[in-house]
Amino acid sequence: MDDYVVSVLSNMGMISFLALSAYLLLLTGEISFGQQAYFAISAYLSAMATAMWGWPLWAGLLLGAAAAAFAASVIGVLTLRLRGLYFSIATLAFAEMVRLLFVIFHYQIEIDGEPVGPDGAEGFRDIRWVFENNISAFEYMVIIFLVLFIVLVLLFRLWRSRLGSIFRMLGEDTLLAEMQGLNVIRFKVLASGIAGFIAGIGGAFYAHFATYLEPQIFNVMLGVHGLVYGLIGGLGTALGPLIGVALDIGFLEAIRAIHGYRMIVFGGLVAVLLIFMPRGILDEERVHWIRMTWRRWRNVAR
Amino acid sequence: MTDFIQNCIDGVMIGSSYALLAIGFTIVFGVLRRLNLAYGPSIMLGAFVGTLLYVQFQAQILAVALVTVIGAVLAGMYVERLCFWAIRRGAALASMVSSFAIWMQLEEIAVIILPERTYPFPALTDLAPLEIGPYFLRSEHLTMFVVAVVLVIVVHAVLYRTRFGLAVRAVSENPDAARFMGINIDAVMFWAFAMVSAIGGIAGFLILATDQQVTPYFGLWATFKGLIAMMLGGMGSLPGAILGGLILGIVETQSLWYLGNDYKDLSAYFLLFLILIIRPGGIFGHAMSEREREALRRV
Amino acid sequence: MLRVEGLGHQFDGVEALAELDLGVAEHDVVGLIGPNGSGKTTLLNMITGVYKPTAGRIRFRDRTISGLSPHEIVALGIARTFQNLRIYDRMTVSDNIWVAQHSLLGLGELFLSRADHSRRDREEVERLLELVGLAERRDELAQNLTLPDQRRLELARALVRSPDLLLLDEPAGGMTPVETENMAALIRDVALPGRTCIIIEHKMDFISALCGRICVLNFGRKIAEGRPDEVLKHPRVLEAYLGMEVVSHA
Repeated sequence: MDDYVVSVLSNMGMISFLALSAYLLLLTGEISFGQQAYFAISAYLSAMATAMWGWPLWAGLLLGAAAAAFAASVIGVLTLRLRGLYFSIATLAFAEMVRLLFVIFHYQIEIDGEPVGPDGAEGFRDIRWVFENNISAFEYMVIIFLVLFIVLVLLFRLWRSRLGSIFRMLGEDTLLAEMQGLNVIRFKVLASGIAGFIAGIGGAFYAHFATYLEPQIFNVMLGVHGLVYGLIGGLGTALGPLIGVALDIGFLEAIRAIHGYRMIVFGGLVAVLLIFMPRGILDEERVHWIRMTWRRWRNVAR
Repeated sequence: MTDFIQNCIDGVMIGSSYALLAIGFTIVFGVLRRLNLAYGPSIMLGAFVGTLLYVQFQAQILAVALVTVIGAVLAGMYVERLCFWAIRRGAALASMVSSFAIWMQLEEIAVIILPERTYPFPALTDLAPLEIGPYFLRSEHLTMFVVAVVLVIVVHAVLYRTRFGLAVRAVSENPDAARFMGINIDAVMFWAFAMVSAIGGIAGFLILATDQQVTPYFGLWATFKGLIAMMLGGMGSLPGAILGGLILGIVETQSLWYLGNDYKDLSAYFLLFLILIIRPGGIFGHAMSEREREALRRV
Repeated sequence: MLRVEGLGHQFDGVEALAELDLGVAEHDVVGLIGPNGSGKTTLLNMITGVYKPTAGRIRFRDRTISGLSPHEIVALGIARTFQNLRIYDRMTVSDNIWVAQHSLLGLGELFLSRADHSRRDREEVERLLELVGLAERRDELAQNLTLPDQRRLELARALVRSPDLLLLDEPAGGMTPVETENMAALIRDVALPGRTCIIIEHKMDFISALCGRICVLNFGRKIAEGRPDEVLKHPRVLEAYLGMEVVSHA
């Protein structure tokens, strides 16, 4: 497979984790502009684990994702009791704080005579675990998609489960859910923690894919993209965010003619799409219709 | 102590433009109950067109100012029609995300107009700084401050002494009631947006003319400053926007002086985060519990 | 069972409720009427913990509940419907009821619920749907139902796990006279047996048919209480509704 294609697909895979993370919170009715913070925390921590402490990738990834989940839960406890818009801005503020903290974060150790580690705005270089362990770009991409597939399957199971339907209740009508006996905060924090974990997986993969991290990468635009992908792909299914990702990074990226104008096209596309489909392409109604039609078709076929 | 006061003076001066940006956000929020995330970028677009004029045609400062404002207003109208008017009432999330999308669009357009990382912007004034005792008052800052004050007075007059302002306030209070009284909501929103974009254009011009340079990061930067200042003072509150802007300015200058450049923005965001956790309504905001207000609205 | 003592609620300087005393015994069916803005819904909101009283308290089964949060109160066996109808629009009819069952489970039960719990839950959903006559619409999205059907859905949802105290806020709101009669019959047959109820409604026939006792509010205060036939002739009640002084022809 062409190197460029592998690279694009890997990007899509990694960003999908971020998009799914924002999506999970959207399900509970919360708009988070800050999932990139957890992406960043996991990226840095997992990179530190593999590049500085000699951990294997999977261990670093788990550490990073766990730390991201923990941070997300703590921030969730602090912010989820705020009403909608206030919560969103709080997540924005937090994410920017995280980014700026990484700018002043310096922690380097010497390995083989060279300094290794995050160096503030200068970045964190030589995250070379993937190369040192002879994993090709193609193999890495497969790993990313394998994990993504697992996460997706889990999310689908979550959707139909009690916990998932509780998340959806919160998104539909938070007050009603509370009046029916749900401890809203507890469940939203849980959702936030899970979302943080998912973003963390993506972040760890990213760090080892790019081999170089700098704070500037984890800016608001990154988080906003994640959010947008979920919303245009559709809030009715976990496939929604992936569709959004595929639309931007897959489809639009492929059109050479609009290189340099991709944002303009994508931005316009999103704006127009949201006029006609404010809950995305695969919103709850459409997904329901598909499910019913499929069921009817199956019954006829018998 | 002298430093502290000097920083306060500088902070208030700079904060006056933050206040203008915040006013823009707060009015849009008051009228539409939504955030316009394309605000900063639409101002930047106007500024970039103004810069183009300056760089290519050596335009005079007043012409640049005018073009900046007109550009911002046109961009604002585009945003309003596409993201807010076209998306029906209930879909607040869609509107905000749509304004994100347009933010991306406007940024790219700006970069296409002027591809370099930075461009010169005409200076606001050539006068030497004023000296009052041990304190310096940069003439640009003073000009910025005076214009901002004048603008605030004008906005206040418009909102409280004109029929248009009355309509805007009515729609902010209760859009349904306003509609029943015969107010054309769409027109009010459109012109409120135009007014807000004009204010933003002036604010942007003042800031860039003080810095004498413009970069593609300005859009994002302006959005953040306006947002933070608005939240500090309380969403939907005009005096809140003003106070929030001034406080933000002071916090920035003090942290820049005592903690260094790396901590300047960090302090601003930290302050914002803190306010949201402790008193989300901001300084002039509501103290009523969230659940009660929500229930009031719908049960 | 339920005791409201000296209850008051004030916000923004408006007194929504003041010095309200109300006692509801086991298996009572109490009607709550009064002009718009008299505080009826506010009272329900306070019983269910949405608002905290600024004066007085509410006791349920000898336990003060007026400081608790909604989810704690629901766990005690109190359920309600809403004046302007709250259902999960984008979920199916059966899911609307199914999710109501989760609300009462602890976190551990959510993760560890066994297959037979699930089956038992599904059976209860079916039973409730049959009871209110929505069994055939079970897979439709709630937002696509007609108003009377949506109100029935709300009723079925409120009946999940058999609450002891049922609070109905304008269950016949927006319905035609025929639909209203059907709703009254449904409530009488399905909801009332073995249960304590407070019903808010504007339709007098509806209230009289179902309630043994009526309490009348005006401007947040109780102005009358008693049997339907007594209360509806009460001069102060007539005055409140008709807005003019009524000379009593005693």
